[in-house]
Amino acid sequence: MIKQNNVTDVLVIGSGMGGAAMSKRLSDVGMKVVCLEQGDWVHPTQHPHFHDEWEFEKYRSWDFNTNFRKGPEDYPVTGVALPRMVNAVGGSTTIFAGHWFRYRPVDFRKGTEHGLEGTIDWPFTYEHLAPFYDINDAEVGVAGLNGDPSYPPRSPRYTPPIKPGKGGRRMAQAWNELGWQWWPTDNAILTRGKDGRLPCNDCGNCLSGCPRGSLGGTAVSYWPQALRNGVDLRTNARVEMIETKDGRATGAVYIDRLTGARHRVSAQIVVIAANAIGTPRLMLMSAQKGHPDGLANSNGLVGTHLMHHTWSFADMWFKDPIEGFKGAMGCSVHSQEFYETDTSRGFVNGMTLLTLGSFGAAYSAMGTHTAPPDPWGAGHREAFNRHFGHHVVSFLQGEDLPVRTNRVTLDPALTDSSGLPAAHINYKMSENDIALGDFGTQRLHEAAEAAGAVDAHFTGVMKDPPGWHLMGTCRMGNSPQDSVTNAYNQTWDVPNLFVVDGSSLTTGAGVNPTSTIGAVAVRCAEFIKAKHADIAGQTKTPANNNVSW
Amino acid sequence: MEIRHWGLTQSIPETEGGDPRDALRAARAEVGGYSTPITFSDHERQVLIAICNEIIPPGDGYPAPGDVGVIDEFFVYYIAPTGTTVTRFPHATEDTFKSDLAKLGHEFLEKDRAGRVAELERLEAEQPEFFGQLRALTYGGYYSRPETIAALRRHHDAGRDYRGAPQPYGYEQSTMDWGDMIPPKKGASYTRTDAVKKLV
Repeated sequence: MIKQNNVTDVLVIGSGMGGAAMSKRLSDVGMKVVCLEQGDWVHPTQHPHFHDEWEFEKYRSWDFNTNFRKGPEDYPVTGVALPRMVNAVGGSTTIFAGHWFRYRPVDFRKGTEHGLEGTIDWPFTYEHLAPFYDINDAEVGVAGLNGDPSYPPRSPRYTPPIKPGKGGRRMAQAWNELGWQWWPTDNAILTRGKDGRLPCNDCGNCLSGCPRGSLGGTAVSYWPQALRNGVDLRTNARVEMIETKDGRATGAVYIDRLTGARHRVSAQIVVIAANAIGTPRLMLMSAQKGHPDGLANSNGLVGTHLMHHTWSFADMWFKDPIEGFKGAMGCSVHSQEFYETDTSRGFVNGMTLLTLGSFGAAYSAMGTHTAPPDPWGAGHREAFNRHFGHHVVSFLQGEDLPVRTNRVTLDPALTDSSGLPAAHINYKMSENDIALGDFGTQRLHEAAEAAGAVDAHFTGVMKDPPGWHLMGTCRMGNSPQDSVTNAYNQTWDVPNLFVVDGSSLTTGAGVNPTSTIGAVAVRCAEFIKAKHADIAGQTKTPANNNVSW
Repeated sequence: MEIRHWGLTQSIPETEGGDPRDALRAARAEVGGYSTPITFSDHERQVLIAICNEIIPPGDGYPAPGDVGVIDEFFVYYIAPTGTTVTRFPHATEDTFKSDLAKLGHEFLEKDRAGRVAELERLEAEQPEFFGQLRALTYGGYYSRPETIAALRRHHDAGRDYRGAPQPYGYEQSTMDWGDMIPPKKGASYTRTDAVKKLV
């Protein structure tokens, strides 16, 4: 039997984007790291890509939504909840599309720009974060086209951009006709090999993960080196409570899901990276003496300001074959023509317009993500023939306001397989978000017409939005009055407790968050590396004076 | 061992001396459906084949669902066997599914095609959950069978090189690339940090 050392320098909870980046970067310099992950490794044969039933499994074993997938490693989420998350080594990067946007400089200054609802400025700027974006990009391996004028200069992309296929080209041409800006999208998808990972072969099934390792989930990007560095990654380890003493975190108690036994890991520093639902859930579950309303929750902000983004989808069908089942599923080309605030539109914030690949025959017949199934009976063949292989998805992803009442709490009744409380979600779109979504939906109509679609299905603004992006519930901020952590992800109440996942994002921007989650985690890791001796002696979390990097 | 989740208790066979992960895997949804296929009587098979063949009528070079193994190679794995507590899409359970099927009666097979279509229309209106399961299993099964994929390659204008299961081959050789579309021609800009100002 392997004897486990339950005393460590840093305890990391969660192995997704934030937890993996943290574990790897700290172990690079010899720090002792234990990482607890309640899921297990995904074996390549567990992906459906080699099986005839690969598309049906999108609704079952590879459904985004834990509430539908119902794995014993998952926990239920109740309320207004379509949570996209995976509990496995790699976390939700196991099943992400790989879209690898950065925030723009303005995204860090939305408090200054409008300050609506709970919007505040980030405690640092784009320029502070840019070097850490570059580090994270290099660790993950990013495909893209250099020179995007919509952003400040950044490091060269690792490999050329993913192919657009006929669908991506069609949308880019439509946006050209409309005079809208567009650019090939950065993706955490290798178009050339890297560190033994195979390049993408355009199979199109990214949303069920990638058995080739082309998609840059942390299981294949960060974790191999982290394990070589000696990180003690414990799978099937479900954290029950983070413990504190005298105002400092002392470690955590976890349940070994294989045996049911409880174990305690003691650490000088505890880092939570369990996503913007899992992290507040754990902090609320960790109510204890000195923290009666949950850990680091003296201001009542843990779990609040949940953001999902604003969504509206357009399914478009064309007369000529598009063959959208070929090429990466994720976005090959996007437009940020309407990204920054223009108050003449009647709302603040903006959006990115994205284009997705399409589906194989079974998923096409059963409906797309948002369109109804093909009719059955005598009309089936004609409808199927019009739809399969003729389809393109475009959608808007808009910045939703951080609203205090949009929040994660604990479900009073339902539990996970270990008896721990389920998470509960309250989420209601603001009027601003609805206006933004309505504006963007009109742009989707215009783009469909310009692209020459012969048929289209529009969802309009999804007022119960899919929880594909989970952000903001333990946000970084500028003071203990407006946030859960300081500028370096230290919780205001517990100086050696850090949060580095989507919950730490102060605002959501109008882009996918994973790249920014990783960059923030890398920045936090560099802070811990540089300051761990100071952190070890802190009994009070420092204020954000002189944020220099 | 018992695993309790989503308010349900699922019994998992104990593993003696093996990897305890086996028990947890048994509680997950694994690729390929439920590990133990259910069985249908000959009559149930005949009714299901007749239903599938009306949901997706054959023709124009496409085979009938009943001729490509939709029932024997797909339905039987994706309907939860009796005793399953935690079900996944399409949430058809053996007992209920067979009971609903039996309600169609022997008469269903005796009807002509128009009569069968009328009966299915009634089912769609009156038992949408059961009908939805039938349709999902038929669509999912039919369009995953190799014979159907071959027909798509022969007869569908977008399917000439469609492979069905996307790995190991992928579509690297035939996915259209950027060509001279990049770099894009239209310029763009962004607001610098020091230029952000109050707008509201």
